[in-house]
Amino acid sequence: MRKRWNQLFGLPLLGAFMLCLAPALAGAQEVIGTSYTPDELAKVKDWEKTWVGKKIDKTNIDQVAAFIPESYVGLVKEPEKWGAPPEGNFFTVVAYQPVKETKGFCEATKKYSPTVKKNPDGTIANYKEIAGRPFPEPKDGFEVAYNYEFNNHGDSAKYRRYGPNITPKSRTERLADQEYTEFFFIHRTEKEPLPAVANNPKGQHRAYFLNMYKPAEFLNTRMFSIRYDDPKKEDDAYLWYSQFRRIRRMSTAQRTDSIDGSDLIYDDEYLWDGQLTRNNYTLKGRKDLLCSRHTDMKATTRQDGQGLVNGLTIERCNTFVVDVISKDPNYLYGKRVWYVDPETYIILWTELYDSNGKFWKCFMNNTLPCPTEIGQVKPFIVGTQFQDFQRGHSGLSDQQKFYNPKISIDVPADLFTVGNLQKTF
Amino acid sequence: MRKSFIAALCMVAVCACILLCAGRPALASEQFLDGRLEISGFAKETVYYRTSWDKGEEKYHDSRVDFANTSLYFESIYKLKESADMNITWFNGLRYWFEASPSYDDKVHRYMAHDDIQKYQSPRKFEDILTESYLSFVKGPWDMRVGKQIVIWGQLDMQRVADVVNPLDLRLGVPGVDNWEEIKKGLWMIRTSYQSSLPGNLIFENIINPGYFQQQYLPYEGTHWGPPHNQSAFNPKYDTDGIYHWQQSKWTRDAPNGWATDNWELGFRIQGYTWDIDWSVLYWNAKSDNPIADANRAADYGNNYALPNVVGLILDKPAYGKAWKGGDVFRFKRYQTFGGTAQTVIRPWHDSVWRLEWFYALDSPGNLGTDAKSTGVYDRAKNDLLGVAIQWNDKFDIPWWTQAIGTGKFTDISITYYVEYIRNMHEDLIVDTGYNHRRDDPYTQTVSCFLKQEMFNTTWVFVLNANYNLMCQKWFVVPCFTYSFPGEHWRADIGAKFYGGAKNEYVGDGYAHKDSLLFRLRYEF
Repeated sequence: MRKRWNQLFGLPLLGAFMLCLAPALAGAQEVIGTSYTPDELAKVKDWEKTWVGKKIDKTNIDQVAAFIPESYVGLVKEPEKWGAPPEGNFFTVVAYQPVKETKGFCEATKKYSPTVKKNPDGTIANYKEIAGRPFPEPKDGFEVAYNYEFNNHGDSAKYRRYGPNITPKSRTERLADQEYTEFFFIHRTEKEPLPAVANNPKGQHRAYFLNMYKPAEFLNTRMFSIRYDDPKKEDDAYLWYSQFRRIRRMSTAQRTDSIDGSDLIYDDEYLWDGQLTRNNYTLKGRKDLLCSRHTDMKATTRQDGQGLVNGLTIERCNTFVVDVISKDPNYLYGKRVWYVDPETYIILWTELYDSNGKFWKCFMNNTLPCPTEIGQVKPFIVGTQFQDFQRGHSGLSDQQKFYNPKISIDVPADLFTVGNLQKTF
Repeated sequence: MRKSFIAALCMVAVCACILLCAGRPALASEQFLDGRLEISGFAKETVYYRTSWDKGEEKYHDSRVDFANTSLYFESIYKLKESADMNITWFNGLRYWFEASPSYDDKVHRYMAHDDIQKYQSPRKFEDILTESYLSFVKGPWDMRVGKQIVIWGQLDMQRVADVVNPLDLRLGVPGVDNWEEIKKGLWMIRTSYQSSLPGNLIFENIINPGYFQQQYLPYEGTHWGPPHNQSAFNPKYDTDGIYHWQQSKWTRDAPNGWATDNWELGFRIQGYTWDIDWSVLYWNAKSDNPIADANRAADYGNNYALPNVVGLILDKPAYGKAWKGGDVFRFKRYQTFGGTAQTVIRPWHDSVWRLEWFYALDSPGNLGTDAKSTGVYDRAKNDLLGVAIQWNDKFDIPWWTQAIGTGKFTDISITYYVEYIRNMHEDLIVDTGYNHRRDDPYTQTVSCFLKQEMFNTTWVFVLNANYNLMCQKWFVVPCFTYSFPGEHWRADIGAKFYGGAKNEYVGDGYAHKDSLLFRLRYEF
C-alpha cells in the first residue's frame, strides 16, 4: 500500500516540488565560468594541503614563486627596500573558493548572452541593449575584455577610499581620501530599470561622483565624470575646486596623466578604465596565480611608509592572461598584461611595461564578495596595491578603512549635474 | 610698542597651541556630534622679504621683512536636517589674522597712519572675522541660501570678468596668492537656485541683497601691498599721514557700509549646456564697490590736506590735514552689469579646454580730471565698459620631463587673453590702477599665463603666474614652489614675485618695486 501510495502520489509530488523549485534555483547566485576543471581542482586541493594557512614571506616565497608575479616575489624577498617592518612583507594562503555572481547578473547572463550580436570588427552590435556577461565562454582577448567591462559593480556603489602614496625608501607618505559614488545607466542587472535606464538621451554608460577629503588642500573639492556608450566619445568631467570655488570643465582625453601623486594614470582605475576599443587584446592562455579574492582589508596591517600591506589572503586562481596593447603607438605603456579572474572578470593582477618594453609597474586588486543593499553578494574590489618598480614607489587603496562598500544603493537622479556640484556639502 | 609685542607673542602662542593640539592624526576635517558638525580650515604664516625698494622707501623700514602675517581660517558645516527630501545645513567661515610687521618694525609702526595700524594688524570688528554664515535649504531642485555669502560667478582663475558679486579686500593679499575666502568680503543675501529639467539642464539663479553694502578695501599706506610713505607724504621725513591715507580714510568713511535700503543689490544668472558648451548669462545691479569723487568737493577736500602740508614743507615742520566739515566727498554709484561665460573642450585641438568670459557694464561710474589726473577732478562720467577674456588650457606630456620630474604628471598650462574697451571715452577720463588703460586709449589688453607642474609624486609643486599688459608693457611674474611634508597637514611655499615694465604716469604702478621673496608655512586640516 505504502509503495503504491509512493507510486501514485510520491513521485509526482516530488516532481511538482522540483518544478516549483526550478525557477528559484535558476535565479540563485551562481558561479559563471570556471577557474578549474575537476581534475585541475583536485590538484589544487592537493597543493592546498601543504600551503593553506601558511604565511608566505621571504623565507619561503621561492617555493610558491611560480604562482606570484616575479616582481612581487622580489618585493617580498627584499622587504627593506619597500619600507616593511622587521617581520617583512607577507601574505597568508587560503583555500580556493569559487565566487558567485548575483542573482540578477546570472539571470541577465542567461537571458542576453545568447543574443549577443557582433560586428565584423568584433565589437558588440547590441551593446546598449544587453547586460550580464556577454561571453560566458570567451574565445579571444576582446571577449574577455568585454566580460570585464560588463561588470557593473552592482549597478551602483558608494565607497570611500583611503589611499596613501608611499615613498618606501624614506618611509614617508602622502594621504588621499576620496569618496566615490558610481552609477551605471546601461548593463544593469540588479535594480530596475533593467537592463538600461530608459530616459538616457545623452547615451550615458556610467557616471561617478567624487568627493575629495584629502590632501587637505583638496578638502571638499568635488568632481563628476560621465562615460558614454559611444566608444568614440570622450568622457565629460566637471570639477568644483574648493580653493577657487569655481566649476571647471576638465579635459578627460589625457588619460595617461598621473592621478595626483600616485603611480596611477587615469586609465589605471580598476586596472583599466577607458573605452575598450582603444586597445588590441590577445588572449595568451591561462596562468595559475595566487590572487587576493577573499580579502578583508580590515584584517591587514601596515606601518607608515610600508609599500605593501601585510596579511593579504591569497588563493589559487587560474586566470586568463590577456596582452593589452594600445592602438595609439605613442601610448605611455608599451603593453599591459591582464590576469583576469575567470569567475568575476575582475583584473586581479596587471603588469605594465613602458614604451621601450621594459617592465615598469605591477598592480594587484584585492577583492571580496560583499553583501549588497538588496540582499545579494557581489564580488567587489576592496583594495588595490600599486608598485612602481622603476622608481621604487608605492601606493595603495583601501575601500574598507572607513566603511564597507555600499553596493546596489539608490543614487539621486541629480547627482551627476553641475547644479549638484554647487551645493553646500 | 610693548603692548604690540605682547599681543604678537600671545598670538604666536595661541597659534602654536592650536597647531600642536591639531597635530594628531585626523580625518581631513574634524567631525563632531555624530558627524553633524564638521570643522576644517588652516593656519598659515606668510612672510615677504623685500628684494627691491622704491626710491627712498628703504628709509621707512627697519627690516626687509615687511610682511609677516599669521592667519587662521575655520570653516564649519552643521547639518541641521538631513533626509531624503530635504537638507538644511548651516555654514560658517571665520578668519583671524595678525600682521606683525608694525610690531617688530618700529619705522613701519611710526610712519603708518595710527588708525590704519589697528585695522591692518588684526580684525577690529566681527564683520571682518565672520567671512560667511548662511543657512542652506535644499529640497528637490531648489537650493536656497540665506545669510552672508561669497559667490563666485566665473570660471577663470585670477581674472574677475564675470565674477562681479562680492567686493575684494586687498589689504593683506591678492588673488592668485591667497584664497578667495581671505580676499573676498561676504555679503548678506538670499540666493536661490533651481535646477530645471528643461533642455540644456538650465539652472536658474537669483540673488537678492536687501541692502547690505561693503566697499572694496585697498591696502594701507606704508604696508607691503600699499603705497610707500615717501610717495604719499608731502614731507616724508615726518611721520605725518600721506595724501593716500587722507583720501582712503575719507573714502571709507563715506562708504555706505552696512545696512540701508538704498544699498539693495539684485542679480540673476542662468546656466546651461548646449552643443557641448557649458554657458551662463548673468545680470547684476549694484552699487559700485569703488567710489567716484564729488567734483564740487574733491578739490576743496584735497586742499584741506595739501595747503597745510605745503606750508609744512616750506617751514620744514610736520603738518596735518585740516579737518573737513563739508560732507561726503566720495560717492558709490549704482551701475548694471550684463555678462556671461562659456567653456568647452575642443577635441581636434589636442583636447584643450577653452573658456570665454565677458561683461558689459552699463553706466559704469568714473571721474573726469584735468589731463586725466586724479588731482584735478572736475566732473563725473558714466561710461559703458566691455570686457572679454578667452582662455586656453591644456596639459602636455613632455618627453623625459613628465616621467623623470613630473613622475607621470603632465604640465598644466593656461593662457588668458583679456581685452577691455571703454565706450565713448573722454580724453580726461581718469583710468588708473584698476583699469590699466593708457590716457585717452579706450582699449587695454593683457595676456596672463598659468603653469603648474607637480613633481616627484606631488611632493613638490611648481606654479608660475605671469601677466603682461600689452598696452602699457607692464608685467609681473610669480614663481612658487610648494613642498608637502610627509603626513597630512603641513605645507611650505617658497616663491618670489617680480614686477617690471614701462612706466607711465597714467598707468597704475602700485606694485612696482615690490619685488619680494615669499615664504609660507601652512597647516591645513
